[in-house]
Amino acid sequence: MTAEELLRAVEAADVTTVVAWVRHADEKQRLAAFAGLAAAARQDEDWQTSQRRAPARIVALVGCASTAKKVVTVLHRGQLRWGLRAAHPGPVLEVLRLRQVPWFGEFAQLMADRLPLDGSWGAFGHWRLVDVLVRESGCAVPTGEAFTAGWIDAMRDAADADAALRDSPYTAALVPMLFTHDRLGSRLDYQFEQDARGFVPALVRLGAGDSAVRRLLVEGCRSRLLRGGKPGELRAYTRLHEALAVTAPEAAAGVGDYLRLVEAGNSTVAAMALKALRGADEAGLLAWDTLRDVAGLALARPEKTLVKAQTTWLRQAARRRPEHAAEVAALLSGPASPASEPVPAALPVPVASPLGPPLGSLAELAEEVSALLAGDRSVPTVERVLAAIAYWRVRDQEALARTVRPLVDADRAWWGKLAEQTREMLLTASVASGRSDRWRQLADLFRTDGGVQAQALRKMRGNSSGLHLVLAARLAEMSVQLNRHPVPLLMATPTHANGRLEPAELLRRLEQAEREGWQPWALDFEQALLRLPRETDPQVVTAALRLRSPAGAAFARRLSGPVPDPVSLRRSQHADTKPSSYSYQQQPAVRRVVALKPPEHAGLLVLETMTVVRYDHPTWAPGHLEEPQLWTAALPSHREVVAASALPILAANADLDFDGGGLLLAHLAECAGPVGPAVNLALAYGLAARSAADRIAAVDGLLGLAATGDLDAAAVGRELGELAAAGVLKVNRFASALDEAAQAGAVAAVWGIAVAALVPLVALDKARPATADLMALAVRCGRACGAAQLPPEVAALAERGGSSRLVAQARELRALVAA
Amino acid sequence: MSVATYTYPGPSALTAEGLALQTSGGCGAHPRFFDGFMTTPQTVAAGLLAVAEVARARYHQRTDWASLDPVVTGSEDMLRFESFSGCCGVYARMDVLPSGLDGERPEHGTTNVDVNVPLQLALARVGGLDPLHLAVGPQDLTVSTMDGSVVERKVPLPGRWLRGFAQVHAVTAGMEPRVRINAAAAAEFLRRLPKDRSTLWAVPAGQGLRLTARPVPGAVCLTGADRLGALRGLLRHATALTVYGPAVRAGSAAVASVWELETPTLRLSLTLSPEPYRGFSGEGAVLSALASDDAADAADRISELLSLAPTLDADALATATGLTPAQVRSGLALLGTAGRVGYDVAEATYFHRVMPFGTAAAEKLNPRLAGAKALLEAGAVTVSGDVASVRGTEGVYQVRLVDGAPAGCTCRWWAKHRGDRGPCRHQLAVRITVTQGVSA
Repeated sequence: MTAEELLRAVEAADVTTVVAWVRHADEKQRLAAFAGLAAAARQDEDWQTSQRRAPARIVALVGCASTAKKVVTVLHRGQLRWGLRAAHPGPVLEVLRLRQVPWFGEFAQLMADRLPLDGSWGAFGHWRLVDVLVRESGCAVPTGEAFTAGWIDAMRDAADADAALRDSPYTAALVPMLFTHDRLGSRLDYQFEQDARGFVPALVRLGAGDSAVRRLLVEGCRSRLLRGGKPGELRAYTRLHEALAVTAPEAAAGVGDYLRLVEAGNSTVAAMALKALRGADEAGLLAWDTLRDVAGLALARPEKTLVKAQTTWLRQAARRRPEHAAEVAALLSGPASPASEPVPAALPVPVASPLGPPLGSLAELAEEVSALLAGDRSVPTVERVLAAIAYWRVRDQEALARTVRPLVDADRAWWGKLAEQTREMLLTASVASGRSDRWRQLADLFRTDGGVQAQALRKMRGNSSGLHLVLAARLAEMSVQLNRHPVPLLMATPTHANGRLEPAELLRRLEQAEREGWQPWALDFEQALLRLPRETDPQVVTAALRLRSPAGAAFARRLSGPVPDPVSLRRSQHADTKPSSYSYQQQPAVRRVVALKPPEHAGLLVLETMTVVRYDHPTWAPGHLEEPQLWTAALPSHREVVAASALPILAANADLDFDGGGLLLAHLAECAGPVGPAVNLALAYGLAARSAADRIAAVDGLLGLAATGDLDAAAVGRELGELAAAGVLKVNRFASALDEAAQAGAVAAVWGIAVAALVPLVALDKARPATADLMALAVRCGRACGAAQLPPEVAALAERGGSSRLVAQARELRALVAA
Repeated sequence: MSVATYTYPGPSALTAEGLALQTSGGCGAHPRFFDGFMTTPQTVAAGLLAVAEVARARYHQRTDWASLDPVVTGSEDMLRFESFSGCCGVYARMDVLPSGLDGERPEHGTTNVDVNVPLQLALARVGGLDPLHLAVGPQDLTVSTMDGSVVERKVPLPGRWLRGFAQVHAVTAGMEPRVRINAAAAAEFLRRLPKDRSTLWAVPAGQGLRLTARPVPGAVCLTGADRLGALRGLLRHATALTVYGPAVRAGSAAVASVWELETPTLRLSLTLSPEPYRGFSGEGAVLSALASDDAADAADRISELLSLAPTLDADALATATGLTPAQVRSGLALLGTAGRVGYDVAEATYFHRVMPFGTAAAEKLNPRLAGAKALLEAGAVTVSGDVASVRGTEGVYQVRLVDGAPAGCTCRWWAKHRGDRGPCRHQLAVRITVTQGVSA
């Protein structure tokens, strides 16, 4: 009977031998073995081994412990805690019994206290162990949250839940606990089925046979809901309340609670409380004063459904109580939470912030490169890093290499075209001399000395095209040219964070290049030209004409001639007639996109960015809108082109319920250039996006365009209306986004959009949901900005009979314009 | 992780005699702060429920649960109830104003209050407009403890919870009121909040607030909008919502914000961390101040002053102690690490908290500072001119110095946060080296 034998039995995971050891050892030997066992349990073991040994180890520890506290601590330490899930309750009980320890009950209680609240696989085994300990020790029923949760699982998973609930020794103690603990909602809700087997239905049947239990359940539900919590945590209790089918007398007994729930509960809870109170009223159990209080609270709720339910109830109640008809009428005509009236306001014109000063030292460059590698792709970081690398490459190549090399070496994450090219460029900058294989491959791509081949540029874009890859192409050029033709400054470095480059600044750079006798890199220079604004100071134009280099001449031509723009072609795409059998390959019935025909005699970059081809069917994989700020920074004076490139992605946010990238619309408002069908469609799809964050960004875009006078409200409205009428956009989404815009002061713009959107919508036989909300918004905006004209289609709706909200709002609208 | 033990002389309860809140720890075993009437019981009940709701909530990663009881502080003529969410990303405080209390002046001190399940239920049922009796602390200690109904609970006390108290006053001290809207507009705004966790910015629009996707001057950051949920309960009683935030400009990263509902008798404010995954505990707003030498001295002098006059603004503190504003800041930071200072944005004053938890060493509670000291001990810092190099875990980092103070580093942590979460350990190590070099 040595402690070593016991340890060996544990190591062999031999439960029988462990039990036999404990049986044959005397109490002194047992106590003496405990320290060794605990020390062995603390040793590093791999997961498999520790779990295999756990059952034997648990029995041994329980069989040798001196106090409950000590053994519980050791059992919950490290990996052994997980071993409790696979513990064998039988042998544990056996050693406890044969030792006749006085702390059996305490042990059971402590084990119950330390149960984790975890419903994952295997957790039930842990509960089972505690369950056996509690039963056999005869201690008081533990009422902790985790024990209750395990009990719920045990009852639900029993072959006959009704019998299990009836016979469980814990039922009386644990049913009240269902409403005391905060986080049992999801457990109650798990595998909830209204009339099948399961915990909640069994509970309800238990209540049906025992009025005390039923009272406990009804009151428990109410009090749990009253204490409040997240909707997800409360859902189980509203469902239980539903399943209980609370009777009128039961509801009447809890009027005070229901009243409070109508006032303060979430919408589901308030609806449930309202229903219960109505049941009590229909049975004649509600005093008129109470009904008046309820009505006051419910009518003040923001939810339309609640107000509607209360209104119907009040109308019925008035018929039953003719003496209070006047009071009911007063309640119903009361101020029904008036939507706040929009006020026209001057909108702030979006202004691009300056890029910031150039990086002053190599130390600063190191920090910014580190940030770039950590994922900061903001325009100031990217552009200032590129400019500083070009500058230091000429000024002090060795020092630059010393600064950049440790950062590139430490860099680990570099997937994606952009990161790949960034790394390539940094590698070039970090090599003082000598050339890598990769460098030679790249150099082959760029065969001509200064130029980039169209094919190479196209390759850079690959499948997941996007305007952010213009930067990737520039980085590729830089990787080559840093070694071939280093230049002290880049032409394309913008003066503003939105990508704009002031002509005077480019003039200064070109003058410097001519003075020093070097030519700018081709792609870099073309990007610089694309970043120029559309209007130029005449003095700069005159000065540009004095430039003599090829780049200088191109600059002068760009300033004095018209800005090259592509032609926008609006296209309707229709879903394939044979739908795909894969759920992820869904398509909207119709989608509107814009194809671009590039301007003639265009450079490579212009040709590449301003050619957009769109096919007959909408794509189900539009890709992601990565780094929207880089999209607009590539073409800050061509927002129509940016919008056309992004349209499939923005459209999918609305018609396929994707999300992300809506921020592009906010950036677009800061850009320049003509507005055409692509911008209008982008805005329409953005306002109807599923994700609230995307819609918020679209409202920013709308406000920005309205402020600069570039918004074509009628066109945006028409697109919204037609696409919503076709069933691919949801009216409620863009109505709420437009409401936000109106509150911000863009009242006239919203009026224009809303009225134009209503024209195709009112032509439908059956109105789309929320059309009345859009009409109501139009009424509010029309009133605020003094509307003068109404399209005949909307006016015609007012002639239609009926008392629907839509027609009523249309009449109001007509009256407004007539006045 | 240490364990906090709450021992209450009995459960808190709402009876016909009034609301009796039980206390544990602080200045005495069961201190007694207030005995009098609440002029608006329903409002106080809703506010107390909101504070307790935050204490029970987790808005990020719902793993190990530590539900710590709210803390109550009697300071001058107010009662302040405070709590942190389990994720340490939301800090709630209810200030019951003098107009809400009718009785003797609250005693100065801090303790935990027991907000148990039956009490939550009773609070939710409080209606009516009649004043209700409020007792914070046991009626009669001997009687309460004699009947043996002692309530004792042990909960794990994560270091981050205490650290959160240390950071939140430093984070809020630089904030200004940005927007104030009426209750109807506030209700409308809270009702329409998006459910996703993207970083958004609130700006005034007409009578109310509007969310925008990018920061503009005057905007207040809002991330994880569901974290404002605890305000909903008090909305019915509120008169106005005031939003506070630091100054932002175009391109700013996410920052913290304070959302404060106001009723005639109390203020309920929720302070949100910049992003849901960022607990206040890791914000590092006070680390630079802690790294300075004279912090301990300044802390002593401020502490003395605050125990006499429990609320003071920063200027008054500087005048009264004769310290420079920078010294006052570092002193407050050190006091803050023990949770002994709070900041009231509405009145722009600091208030004194007598935390019921022992004050552990500042380093132990601030791993980054400990890391910096470890770097120093390992001799990893070399300063040469305007650049210092620090040998770290993954290579040598470069710390840039501007006017003798660290201004940036090349480590990944700094690259990711760029000063939003305070200095990295490398910069702290350099700061200590530079200041010691000067003093030596």
